[in-house]
Amino acid sequence: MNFEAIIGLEIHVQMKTKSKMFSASPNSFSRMPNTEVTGFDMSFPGTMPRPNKQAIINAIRIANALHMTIDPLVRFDRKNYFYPDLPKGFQITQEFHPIGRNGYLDILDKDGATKRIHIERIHLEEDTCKQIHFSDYTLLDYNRAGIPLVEIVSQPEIHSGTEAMHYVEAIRNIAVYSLTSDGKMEEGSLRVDVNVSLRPYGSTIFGTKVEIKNINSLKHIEQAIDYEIQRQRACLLSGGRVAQDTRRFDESSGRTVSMRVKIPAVDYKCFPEPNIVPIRLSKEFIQEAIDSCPELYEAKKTRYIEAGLPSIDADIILSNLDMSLYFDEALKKCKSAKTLGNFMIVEVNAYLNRKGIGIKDYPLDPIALAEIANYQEEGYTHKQCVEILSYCLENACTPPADAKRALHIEMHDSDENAVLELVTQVLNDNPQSVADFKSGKDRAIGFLIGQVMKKAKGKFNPAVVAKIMNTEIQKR
Amino acid sequence: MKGISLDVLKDAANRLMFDMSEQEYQTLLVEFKSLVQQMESLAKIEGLENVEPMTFPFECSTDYLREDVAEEPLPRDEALGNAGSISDGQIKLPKVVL
Repeated sequence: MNFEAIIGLEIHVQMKTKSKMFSASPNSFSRMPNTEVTGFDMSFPGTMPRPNKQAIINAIRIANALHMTIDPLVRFDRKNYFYPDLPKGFQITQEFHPIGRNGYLDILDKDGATKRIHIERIHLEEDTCKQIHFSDYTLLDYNRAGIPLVEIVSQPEIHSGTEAMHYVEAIRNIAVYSLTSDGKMEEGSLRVDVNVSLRPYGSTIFGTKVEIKNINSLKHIEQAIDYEIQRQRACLLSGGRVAQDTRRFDESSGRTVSMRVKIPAVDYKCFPEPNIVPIRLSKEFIQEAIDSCPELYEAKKTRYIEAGLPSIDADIILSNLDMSLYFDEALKKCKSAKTLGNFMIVEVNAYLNRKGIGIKDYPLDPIALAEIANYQEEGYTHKQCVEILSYCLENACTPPADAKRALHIEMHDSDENAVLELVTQVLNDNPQSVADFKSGKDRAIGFLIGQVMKKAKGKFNPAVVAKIMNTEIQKR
Repeated sequence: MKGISLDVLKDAANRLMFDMSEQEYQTLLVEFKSLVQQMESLAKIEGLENVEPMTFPFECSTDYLREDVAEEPLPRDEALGNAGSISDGQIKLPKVVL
């Protein structure tokens, strides 16, 4: 029997606002536990929630990027439960009136075709405190309690681990490029809960749903889901029943492991939050939130490709927001996006890896890098430009023009007639090498190019010599 | 609905970990009786089941939103002042996993 996997995802995006969702407590990553809390976060009597304007702007931007209907009346509700991760005894969320409804996101399916995933809702809520569990006690750090979250709930339209991975990646790109979140799964600022169930193809009834929690990378999402599909299929084919449990992904074995049997749905007795009067957002406010949204990943990628950057290079640069911001600055002054991209991906990345630093700490400013990339466009060889770049970095960011002078670097002569003359001469003088090349000894052409460069005393552009040599040798 | 008796009030006070004088219990009992009577009167109004419960006394909205500016947090000692047990600047309690 063939089965179809039904996968639904709930994504929690932690916002990098300056303050929390309902209190003015700082929202920054602090190593000292319980130092970023106010009376409201600790539920001190008399404290009242005050919704964060920027958090609502961020949610509007995400809703717009996901093509959602935005509710101009922002309302909050109480989700009641008794657990120490929120000392109020309830979480303030948007149970009844999410800020965004009925959206979609286009992703690539496992065959590389575009597929539309519908998104049921996004809503605002507050994060809970961090709990560290030991063998017989638990420690609570309330720094995280109250950090603004956007929860994004997809329709169960995803059918494979690869699709799920692409979906989460696209959501992460929206969150990162709208400056809503740093989107770091490994640090918990983007958290994914996955629901997986199987049903026979053609059936309209959902199978038993298994939840997988605490997946901390995109690759692990794909692996966890693919493993879980195989596990459930094997269980059903052997006549077993899939247990409704909550599982986690074990990275070392690549398997999902049961954490606990799912308890029946808790009745949270949700009701409208009486301490927050509904907030009416004007059309102008919503439009301004959308218009002021920074350029998103997909738009940037399209722009880069139109500027001449290969798609793969665009993805590499866009995989790091700071890298793309640096690239944007340099591109304003650079004649070739492709050459600049090549410098960023190879030379700049190699330097960053060697020094163990990020692009924000790269010593050379984007304009200087653009200047060096432009030298290549003007006719200097890549090797010469790399020498200039190295000199700049090793000499307190000397301006590239000064570095070029200091290194006595001169532009190679690319006069094709002059090159052709010497190439012809060398080919005539070395018939054996020509014959060797013709008989399959590729190295012979290197010798011939070397002879031309020697006669030209290194003044020719090697790329031009190689091109003409290749053309001329084929004629013989 | 569970009737409000002296025992119920004392049990509730005990669960909430506070106590009152006998006179205070008596006052509260009288006030509760009055409240229950008012609820019973309201329940007699016809067509009440078709009325949506209200969260606010008026259908109103605001456009106020707090600017995203961080303020000085509580000193940690003050934030943890009500905790029964503290370890490494964190609240310590018996293990609880949901």
